[in-house]
Amino acid sequence: MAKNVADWQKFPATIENYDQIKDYIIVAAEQAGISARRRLKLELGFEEVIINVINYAYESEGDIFIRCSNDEKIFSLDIVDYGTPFNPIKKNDARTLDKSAIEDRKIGGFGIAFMKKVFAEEIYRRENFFGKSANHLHLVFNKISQPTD
Amino acid sequence: MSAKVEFKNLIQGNWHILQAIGRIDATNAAAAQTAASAAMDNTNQLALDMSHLEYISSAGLRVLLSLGKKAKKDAKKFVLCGVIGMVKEILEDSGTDMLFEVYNSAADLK
Repeated sequence: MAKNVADWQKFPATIENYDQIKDYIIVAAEQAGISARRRLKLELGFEEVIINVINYAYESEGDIFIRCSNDEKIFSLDIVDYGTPFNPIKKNDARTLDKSAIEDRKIGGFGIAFMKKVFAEEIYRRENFFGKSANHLHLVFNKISQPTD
Repeated sequence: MSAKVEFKNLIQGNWHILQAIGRIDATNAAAAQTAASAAMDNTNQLALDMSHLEYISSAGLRVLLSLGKKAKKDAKKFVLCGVIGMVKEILEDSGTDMLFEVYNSAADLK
């Protein structure tokens, strides 16, 4: 994947910046012609991924890099951080519904399940990003809802 | 930390209805949990009306599960109503709808 620094938007990875990061992606999605309802789906898919970077990637502070790409039928979202190696695709998900009663039910795990449901494709690479080792998550979103979505 | 969600408290018969207006995501889930827990402490029958909720993320679903657990522990009734549109889809996709009594609208509460 060719890299051009100008394609990437850098944000400090803090919870105070989450809304700004989210709005950056949502505005790009709107400009790509994605409907309001689909934009909510998109948000559902990326929220936990970005919150995980904010909460867990760095011991102290660090940045998150976002790139949005618009093609004819797909909208791609790339999320990069220089934090601890972490592949969210391999994280266990709770989508397989366990039948335990609510008092026993484990809380959590939905975010990654939503990511897998919302995006048509997810690719994780630990790679060199402008000279440093980084987590790079590439997420592909169908601009128009597909029967399998 | 965020005013993206507001709560209105309504009384309908024996029900305390907490109407959530706006969106619940990772930035305001904790505040939403505090508000809903406080409402639960003041009633034996709490219904969360989600009909004016535009969006709920995984962080919001965790709030629902916590409230469900609290209700069990405190031997209180906690149901969801106004589960429609996008919120309905999210609850169904996660299986969360199966863990609660769910009503289409507050008018259906008995």
